[in-house]
Amino acid sequence: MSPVSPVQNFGGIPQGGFDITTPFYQQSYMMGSMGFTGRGFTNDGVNCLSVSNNLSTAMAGLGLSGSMPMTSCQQFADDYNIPQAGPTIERANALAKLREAAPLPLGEGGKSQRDSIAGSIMERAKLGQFDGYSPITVDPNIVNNGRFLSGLDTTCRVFLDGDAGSEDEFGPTRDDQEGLSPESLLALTAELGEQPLWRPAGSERKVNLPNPKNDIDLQEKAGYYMYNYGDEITYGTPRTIYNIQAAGKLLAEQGIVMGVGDISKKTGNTPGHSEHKEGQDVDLRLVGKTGPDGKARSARCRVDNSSCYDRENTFKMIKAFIDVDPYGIDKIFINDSALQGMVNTYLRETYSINRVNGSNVSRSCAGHADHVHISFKRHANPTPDEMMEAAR
Amino acid sequence: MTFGILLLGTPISSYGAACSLDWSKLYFKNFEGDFEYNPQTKKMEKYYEEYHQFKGGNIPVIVTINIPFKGDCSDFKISEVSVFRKIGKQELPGGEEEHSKHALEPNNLKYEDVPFQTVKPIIKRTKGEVVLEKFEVLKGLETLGKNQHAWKYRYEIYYKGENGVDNKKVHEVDLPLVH
Repeated sequence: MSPVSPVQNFGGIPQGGFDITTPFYQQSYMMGSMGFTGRGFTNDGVNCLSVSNNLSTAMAGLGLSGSMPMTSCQQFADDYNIPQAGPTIERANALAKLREAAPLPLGEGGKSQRDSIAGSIMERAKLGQFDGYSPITVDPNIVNNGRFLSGLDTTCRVFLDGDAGSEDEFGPTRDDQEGLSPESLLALTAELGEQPLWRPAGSERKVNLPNPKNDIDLQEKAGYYMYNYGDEITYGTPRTIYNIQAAGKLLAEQGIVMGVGDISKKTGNTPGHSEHKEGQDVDLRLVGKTGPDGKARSARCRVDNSSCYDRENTFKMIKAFIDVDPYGIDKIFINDSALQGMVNTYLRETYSINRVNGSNVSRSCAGHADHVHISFKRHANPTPDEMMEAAR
Repeated sequence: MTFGILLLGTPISSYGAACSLDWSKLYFKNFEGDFEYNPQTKKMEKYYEEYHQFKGGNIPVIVTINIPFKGDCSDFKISEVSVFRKIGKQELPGGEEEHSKHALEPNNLKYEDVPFQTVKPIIKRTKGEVVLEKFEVLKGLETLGKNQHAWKYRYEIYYKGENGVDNKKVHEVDLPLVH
């Protein structure tokens, strides 16, 4: 059985806390009481043996040893619905910085800090909300003062999966590779807050996408405008809405204003769509050419109209969505084969995603010559099969 | 002689053969309009889109029916317009690989017996068009049952034809479902 792709591993918590001046993957890691060289959970269980021993140490350190079965690593992962892969190392690095920049409060509800940490981890794992690339609630001060370093460190490693590995294992460094920079992620979080977790489709209330309306300054700041908003098909899951806003912010930095169309109705059918029902799909207009003022806007256009369609700028728009949530993308419909190739190549080369549900992520579909349709995944987390497939 | 001219002129000066409606060029137009960016003025301006179908993702709330004409149609009268829906499941038939290669409407769908709206339209004449106000489009989809879609609308336009004879013109519109 092939191991999980290295770029999908999350390196865990570095020994001695986070060092914002050192790339995440170059930091040293506390491995618990035993060395650990595996890349993460695999179905063959080889690496799990070491993790399982670490797990015992971790659970003991957190006083949790009596609260959960100590079978095997694989069993543990299955029981608690822990995905078997994590984010790109760049993302992990950025998230680590985020946690240091804005630690979440701990010790709530009269619990000790240790219990709060462990409880947060356990609750999220039990709920299946650990998607492997969501930030974990950790106060770096606790890590730094060493009081709970052993247990916390190892526990996070168990949950977040895998070995940090060497730089070579993780491929090119930040400078050589595209994707969301830590600085961009920091800026997004400062403006929009933390990216909401994925929840199972239909399990949470939809929220409305803020509408810059006809204020061009607001549109350029948000990086999007909304068309057809009179139909009120503007509701999405918190994560979808976050992703649209975050992609808009990234595009605004590039002078692009995208056109956001249908998402979902707040309740009931979404007219005219076979999808767009649960707030996890969004339609986007094609992006036009960059003007003399350095701005590019979406407009009514078709891919066969070169006077208003700009493939490169439309690719930038799609790329922004991918960078914001690479493993959350389910499919991208656009009837331009050249653009499809650009998107699929980017997914493969930057995030090691080749196929999702047996198909290229970007492909053609009737009615998509005049807009891009992006679907996010309909379940809370990528399934192990999807992760393995994406890594192939 | 004078009397003969008067007889000939009567039908010409009123509604009759001189009013020629081109039903084949009937189209719909967004009544309320959407704000769109105008690159020339660099402002958001009202834009009134024209439709020959109501595709998912671009379904207007309210439209007018616009019918080009020639001649003098000042006396042209429409008594009412009824709109019927052809309803089926709100899902695309076949696998996704089929969605890009054929018409997607399911077979054997039938129109409702009762119109979902009947309008006694306000009639305006402008720039060689008879304009009928105003028809709900989106609402016809929003009021359907769960997972139902109207794949076509049929507009039955009742008007007074030549010599005051009641006439009916039928116009069907596709509402393609998209992903």
